[in-house]
Amino acid sequence: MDGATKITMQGKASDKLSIGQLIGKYNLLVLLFAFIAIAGFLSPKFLTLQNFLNLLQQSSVTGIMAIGMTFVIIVAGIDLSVGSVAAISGMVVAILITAGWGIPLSIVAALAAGALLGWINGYVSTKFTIPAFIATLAMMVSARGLALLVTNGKPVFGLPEPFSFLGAGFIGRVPVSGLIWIFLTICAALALKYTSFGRNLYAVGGNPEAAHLSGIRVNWHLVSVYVVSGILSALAGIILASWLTVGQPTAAKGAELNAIAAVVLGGASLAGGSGGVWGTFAGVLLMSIITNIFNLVGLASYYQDIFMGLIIVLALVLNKFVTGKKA
Amino acid sequence: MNKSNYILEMKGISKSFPGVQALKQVDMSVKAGEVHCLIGANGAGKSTLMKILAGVYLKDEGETTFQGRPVEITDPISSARLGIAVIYQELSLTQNMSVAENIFLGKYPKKYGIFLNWTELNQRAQAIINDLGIKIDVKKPVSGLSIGQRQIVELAKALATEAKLIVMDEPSATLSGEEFETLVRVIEGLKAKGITVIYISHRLEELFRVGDRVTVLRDGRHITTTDLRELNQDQLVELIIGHTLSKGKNESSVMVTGEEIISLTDVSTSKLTAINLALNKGEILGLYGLVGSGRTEVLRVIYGVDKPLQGHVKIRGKKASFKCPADAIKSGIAMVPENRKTQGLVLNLSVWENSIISSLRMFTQTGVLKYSKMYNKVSEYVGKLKIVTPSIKTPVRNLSGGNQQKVVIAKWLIRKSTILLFDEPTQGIDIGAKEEVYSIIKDLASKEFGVVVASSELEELLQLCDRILVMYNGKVAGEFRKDNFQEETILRYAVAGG
Repeated sequence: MDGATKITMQGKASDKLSIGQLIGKYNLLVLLFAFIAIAGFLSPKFLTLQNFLNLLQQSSVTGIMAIGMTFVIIVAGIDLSVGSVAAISGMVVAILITAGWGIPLSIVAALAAGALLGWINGYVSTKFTIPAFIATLAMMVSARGLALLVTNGKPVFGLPEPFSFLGAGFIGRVPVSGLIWIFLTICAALALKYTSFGRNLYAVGGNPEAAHLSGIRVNWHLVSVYVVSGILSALAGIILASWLTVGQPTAAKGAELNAIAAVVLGGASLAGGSGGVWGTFAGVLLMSIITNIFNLVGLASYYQDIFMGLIIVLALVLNKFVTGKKA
Repeated sequence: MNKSNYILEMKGISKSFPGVQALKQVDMSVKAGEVHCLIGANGAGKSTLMKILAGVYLKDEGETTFQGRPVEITDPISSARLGIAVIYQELSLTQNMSVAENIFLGKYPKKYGIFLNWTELNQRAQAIINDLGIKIDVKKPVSGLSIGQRQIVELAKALATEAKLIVMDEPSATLSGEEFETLVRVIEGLKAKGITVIYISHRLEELFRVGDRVTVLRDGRHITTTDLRELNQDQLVELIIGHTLSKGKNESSVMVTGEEIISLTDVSTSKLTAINLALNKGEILGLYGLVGSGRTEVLRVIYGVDKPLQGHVKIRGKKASFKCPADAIKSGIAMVPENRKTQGLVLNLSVWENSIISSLRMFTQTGVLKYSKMYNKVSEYVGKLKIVTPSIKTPVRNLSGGNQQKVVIAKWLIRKSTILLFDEPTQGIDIGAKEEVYSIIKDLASKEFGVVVASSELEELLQLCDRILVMYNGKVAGEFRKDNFQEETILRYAVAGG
């Protein structure tokens, strides 16, 4: 028997973390503050409220996608189609608004399109037991093709001024898209902690067989997370279209990789059963700050990609050294 | 008899695991070119002995002589180098590769030292298969073959390594009658080539068909090695079960009230034939049988994991057609599965989370989980079941086997399940924890729960149960009430079907 399992605890559990565990738990924050310090050192403009608000706006599209990706990765899945779903939803909302559907109805329709594509992802991968990697890869390719097909590859212009409130508007000095991102992160964090749906996701991701034998409807939960991911990708696509005031079929290309990287940086394991949206939130911010630093020092964009890749791997390797657990 | 007649001699082999002496000074001598059967009830030590031969386990003491030379088998590779091949029940073939590739896996014939020589590979593989008198196209993938044909491919694989001694662990367990006849022919062919076979099986009648001599193990000891022609089936059963088993302690338990809460009528699945079974309120029903006899499958049907092909299941008098465990759980049925690590628990999650995994809905108020209610409930059951853990937030991975098992039980008690199915409830847990699990089970029965315990440990069932059903080959072979628990008879039913 484990030497540490001698005392029976009654009543409420109080447990203290060791220093190693503390660093392990908050190492992403440590990293975040380190990069903030570097950025502040490089440019005094970085440590201004305005720059942080800009950061919030720039990160919100990836951030909202990454919330859905967190759900998917908790159940040991993956969703490669988030970028394409965002593009198609951006096209849907732009086309419908210019066709005179009105802004609210167009947004609802675009969200529904995202939900449908997400459901197809989940249904195909559970019903036919196709790996999620393949099912969503197929969706990534097909949805992008569809987004290009509807206007023959042309962007949709002529979006009305009120629509840009979502992506480019401000309440006071705070960007609306940033507020949406923070609000959704809070909702997702509460859902993961305080609903049986949220708790079941960790069980399904941690051990699907035990979850099944414990009476959890495993497939239903799997399909649900892809629907959630589809809806959130659609919202990200709508916000992006609103920000750019154009429906762009090539929008959000490669966004899936940023979202996955942010979730993993945030402490989730691709093996499933762990992770959370606050970690993902920090992961997205970290990646934006790094990009910000690159821009401040005037690094050419090809170099940016090279260093971003290196930093992601280094962060995870560091994490493994500190906590001794697998990334 | 000349000593060099023996291809393999194992002398004084002992092996112990924490808490268990699996083998005590076991001897086994196998003559070159014979089919040597190895038999014994559950836990007799057959598998341990064969795993030592295969290099999977290291022996604590004893000597092994192979082909007249003393050898040290330290790992599976050194065993294979000597020319020993072991074919396990779970076959080790690569599904999507061809038969020929599987036969020569890792030892492909090459051209110019680099390129795979497909012509030679296919020809040599086909020659081995043909030699066995079997018709299989070696270019076809293994995935298209029947279980019986796969056994043959495993044998061919062993022959390709020029194995001199082949161990077959329950080769017939999954074979149809016709496939078994083929296997018998193939084994006779091997014998004619001078290859030695060690054959492990629970089916006694088979041993008399294929075997020359038999070694009987019981409780980790060597009982006898004898010529099968000098023995009949009854005598063999006597040797397997022995006469020295001690009586289990039978404590008085609450009288069974007689209200039927589970009944199975003529239930058949691919592994079960016409099972009839009834469980009464407040009763502990035991399911005893050897590995593969259908114990677990009966529980799986009740729990909605497998669906009956024929017959029907009634719960509290109502016909039940469960599509999945979730349906069974709604009817108050719970399963404590055989493998708690892979089936019972989510190891990374904490004690509290595993305990309420099936009853989250009971702790929500307008959809919001109440953590204080959950923590209180879990702490209550941690106390009631005496679960030893530093905190309810500790990952279950860090708990001992016995405490992990109690967490699985707590999960169902919190869910307010009233019919509990236990599959090997004390497997791999220490003696102290065993007694605690027993007292929990007895306590449940006294509270009018219905309990079914499937186990391969007869002692356990004798101690716990009001009634024992003995399974043999997917059927109920016999039924014993508490006032009529005769160990020898129960064992006879389990070993020989009656």
